[in-house]
Amino acid sequence: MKGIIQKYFSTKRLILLIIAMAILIFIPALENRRLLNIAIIALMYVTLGESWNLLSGMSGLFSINHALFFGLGTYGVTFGLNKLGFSVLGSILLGLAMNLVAATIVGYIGTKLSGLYFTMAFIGLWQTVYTFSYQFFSITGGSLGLSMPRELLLSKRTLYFIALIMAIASMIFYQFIRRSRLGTNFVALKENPDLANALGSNIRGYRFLSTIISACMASFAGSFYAFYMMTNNPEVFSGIISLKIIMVVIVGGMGHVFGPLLGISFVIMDELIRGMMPSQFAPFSVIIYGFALIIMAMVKPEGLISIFKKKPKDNGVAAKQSKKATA
Amino acid sequence: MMLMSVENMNVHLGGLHIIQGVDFHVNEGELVVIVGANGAGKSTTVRTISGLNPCASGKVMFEDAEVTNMSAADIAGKGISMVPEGRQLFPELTAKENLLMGAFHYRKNRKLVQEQLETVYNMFPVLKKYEGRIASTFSGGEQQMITIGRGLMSRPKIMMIDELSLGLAPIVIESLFKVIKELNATGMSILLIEQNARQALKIADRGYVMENGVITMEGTGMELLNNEHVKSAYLGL
Repeated sequence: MKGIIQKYFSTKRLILLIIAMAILIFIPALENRRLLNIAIIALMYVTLGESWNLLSGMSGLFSINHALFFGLGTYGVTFGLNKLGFSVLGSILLGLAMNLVAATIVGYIGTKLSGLYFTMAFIGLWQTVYTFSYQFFSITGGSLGLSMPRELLLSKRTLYFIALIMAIASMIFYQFIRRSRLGTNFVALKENPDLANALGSNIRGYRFLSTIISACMASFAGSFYAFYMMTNNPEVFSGIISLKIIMVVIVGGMGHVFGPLLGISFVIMDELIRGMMPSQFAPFSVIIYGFALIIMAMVKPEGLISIFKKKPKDNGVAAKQSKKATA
Repeated sequence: MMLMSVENMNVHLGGLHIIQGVDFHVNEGELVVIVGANGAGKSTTVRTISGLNPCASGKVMFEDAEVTNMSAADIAGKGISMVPEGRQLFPELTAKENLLMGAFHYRKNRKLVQEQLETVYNMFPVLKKYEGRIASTFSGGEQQMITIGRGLMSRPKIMMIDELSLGLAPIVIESLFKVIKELNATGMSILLIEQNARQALKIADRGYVMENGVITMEGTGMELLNNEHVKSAYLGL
């Protein structure tokens, strides 16, 4: 067991992680509703961030509308509970099934096309679903949405802990995949698909698999959001959510398990600024975090994670040693 | 015995007729070198054999079976391993992960993978020492060792090595050629593509000279080294 832990996390990281967890567990004890709401949303973005990170950071398929998978998870739950009379588990599975269908389509496109074409096809599918959610009132509830049964209302504290468990599970899952042979192949097909193919790797299969795994992770976050909002709304498909998912990972550090965890500082900042401003100026918060993003891109282009990375000095010494070894 | 043969291969790329009816073969346990100038079509030949470029006409035979235009993954599974030009690695993966990528088609057999990994580590001890390091932090020579090791990881019957010496220091090139020679001595068939004609032909059993998409000359390594045309065009004598 100890060996397994050491394989995945170094001791220093583990201590940092435990401190972070301790803080996270005490947030609900503060009895501050506003803080708790921000924490729930931020933790949800960790799960979404890891999901995006797996598809785009690890496998190199740039998903520009990740809210598609997120929204389908939300609609699966509300639609299952409200229209079909499914149980809670059944409706979560419905969301998952809808995501599997979407991921199959996206994955199929992803195996045929790559790069910009993949992104374009993704936008096409997303726009179809977005329009559908607005227009088909009888099925989706249109812009009013479908409400959830009242007896399923959960306390904010319960929601917080569900979000926390989901965030931790998704991080562990991400790291588990990255360290497995599957993750090796995902990274390989991101960095050099031609070469991976020449070595015998089935790149189509892996692209497909990566899309499906990522969609399922986002689906769980979406289902959770349905319980948080107690209704659905076409805005779960909106580009703003997609953009936030992407920002969370890019601000934190792409292709790294702790990227989304650091990146949620961006979401927290956004929520705090909105809260502090008078309501008529709230949209101007975009200007502030827009500036923050530009400064980030200039100062830490690799994301906040680069603060914690080893200094290049160590690498220099190692390179010298290895040269001696070759000679 | 003939292991791999290419018969009248034609390849078109981007509207250009790059390979114009190339014939050559590699016998079992042989070290064959193809030399030629830039743009002669050497790399295209190798890429076509490994299934990365479509072959317009002609045949690639491997162990008495046709492998022309099969998928790259299937060709790798048959035992044709390619070491691509310019030290192509997966820079974000560790040295060990890079090596394991080569063992894809028999990845289920963990014991065999481990055995093969030990063989590669014995050949390049420096890789064992730094197996957990990210590939992009290795020096050029070491990166080339990783690509050769990765090619070996697939337990190939023939290795096609494209531009072994590209952008490496002379002393590193020499040691890598020594490794290739040793590898060949263990019975591995090798097809080496080189611009560094002198060193390559010295260790080769046989050689071909390629010019503008056709093979213009063939002979043993020594014959080619002493040929007047090769001397003036590729050795600068």
